[in-house]
Amino acid sequence: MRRFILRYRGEGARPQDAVEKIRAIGGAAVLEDSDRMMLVEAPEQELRQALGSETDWIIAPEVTYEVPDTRKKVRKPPSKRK
Amino acid sequence: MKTWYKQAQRSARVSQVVRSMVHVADVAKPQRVILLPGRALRATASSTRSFLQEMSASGPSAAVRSAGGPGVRMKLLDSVHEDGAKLVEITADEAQKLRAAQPGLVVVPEVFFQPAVQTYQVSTLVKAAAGARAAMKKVVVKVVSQTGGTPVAGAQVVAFTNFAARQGAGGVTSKAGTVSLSLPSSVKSLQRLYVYPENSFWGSLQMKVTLSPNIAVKLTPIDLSFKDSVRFFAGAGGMTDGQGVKVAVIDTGIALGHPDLVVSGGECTVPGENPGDFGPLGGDHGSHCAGIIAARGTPPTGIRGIAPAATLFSFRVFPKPTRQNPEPGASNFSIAKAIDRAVAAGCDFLNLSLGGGDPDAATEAAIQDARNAGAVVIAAAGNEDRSPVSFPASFDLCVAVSALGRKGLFPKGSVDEGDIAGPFGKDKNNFIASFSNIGREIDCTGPGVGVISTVPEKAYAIMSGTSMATPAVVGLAAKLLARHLTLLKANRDAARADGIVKLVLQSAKKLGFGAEFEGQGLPA
Repeated sequence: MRRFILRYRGEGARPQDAVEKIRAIGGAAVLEDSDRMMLVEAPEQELRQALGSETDWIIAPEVTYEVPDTRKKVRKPPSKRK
Repeated sequence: MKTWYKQAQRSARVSQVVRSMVHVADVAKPQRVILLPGRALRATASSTRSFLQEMSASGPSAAVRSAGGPGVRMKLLDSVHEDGAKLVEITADEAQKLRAAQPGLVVVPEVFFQPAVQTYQVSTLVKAAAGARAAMKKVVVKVVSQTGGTPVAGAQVVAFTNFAARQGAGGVTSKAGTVSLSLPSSVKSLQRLYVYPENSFWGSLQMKVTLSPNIAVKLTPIDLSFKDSVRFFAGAGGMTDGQGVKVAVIDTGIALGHPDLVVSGGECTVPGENPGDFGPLGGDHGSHCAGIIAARGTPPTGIRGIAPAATLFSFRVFPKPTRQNPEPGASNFSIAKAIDRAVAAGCDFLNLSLGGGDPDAATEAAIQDARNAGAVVIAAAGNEDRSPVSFPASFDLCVAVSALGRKGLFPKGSVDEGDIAGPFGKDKNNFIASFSNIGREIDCTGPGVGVISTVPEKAYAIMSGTSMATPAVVGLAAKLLARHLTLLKANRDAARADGIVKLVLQSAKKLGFGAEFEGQGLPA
């Protein structure tokens, strides 16, 4: 199951009823919870349905970034033909 | 609603992609772009609102002038509202000037959507030439110190038989300083031989190396009093430079016990890891960035950063490597949370020496919230050899930084010689590094080739990258902000953040590379 970030963009504290809707999704797991964000493992469609009427929430898939590096790297073994 | 504005709302989401496509467009030719007041229909920040109102009332040139900016040539074509989005015609160079004068504006090219048409591309794998498997031979590379000849362990050796195709072999040196490479017997020479030590030495680059069973490589030890690109372009800071300014390094964590570094706080925001572990558990990269900004040592026993009195915070977003995952990436959740935490800690500048991939809504939202809370995110353009500026640097509300170098600021035969590329500046010794990404999103440049800085284990290392150029700009920005107490102590809102960006970009001096390479130039 994919992991998603839910971020609240509205004014004030995030509404508890929206949080309850997310927690109520079958098979969903809240992995991390901070002031404005939640990291959730859940089926995407159900997640979007649960927050469908909540316009103040952003749903974004979790992605990762590598440590930047300028070192040259070998991509292929050397050709045996000269 | 006007059709161009509806397009802008949609294209604001895809603007990074679109801008990537148009970044090499003729910079002298005017293009139609949309000026958006942030991501909203109407301006919320007072300075942006006044600017857009003035544009409607008196025209674009007068508006820029009354905002204290330089003359910017553009033609106002249409407007959603007097303080709302504007459709203008402007060249890429003039658009960059406008961004420097009005950092709160989002500049989105006008785009026209076409039906999605699927195309097919030929992708045929070419089979290797028929014939018997060629015999292989072993080549042993021995890496030693130039002074004393002691073996250098842990150095990465990369031998290219065909550099353009990145064909070759590589390995890491043993305690004896040796690594054995397996190469086809038919190969008589290497096009390039790179050696990257872990720390304490400059890397080495040898060209056209004739193969023999044993190859010796001698590395130059780092002299901490050497004038590298950071010290040349930015200068070593005075001990009070950056005082009162808080800087967050959102990275691999900072070496807490390094004698040149003072870390005042931070957090690890990696899910499942201890929030108190904000040391260098994710690698050396964050410590190197931190030293460029605020190292407090004195050569020849230590190094001095650009703004040594700035208060450093370490937000670790790269996980601890494991056997299963030796090079784990930082998630957008960790990064967005770190941005939130850095803002809550009162940081003025957030250093993001990371990036790549598609624009991400969660990171964009966190950056926008940071700007609305008066903080400025400065991000690395990326190291993909003149590719378009990577995300999040490509996001309008980030200050995007390219990497600057100068011939003569690294030893002869060091890996940094491989980063020299045109165009050269007004001073022909200056160049934008060959690895640096470029494009119209570049806001400024900073020294990022052959940089000496701090790494864990109380050591020092050379690194190159837009990753290094970014903290150099953060250091310069911290030094500058510390001298502008009214702005430093202003209410933490979008106007403060816009004011800081304006201060930094208007301090910059062009070095003659062109806007796509250097934006407004090197901040002072």
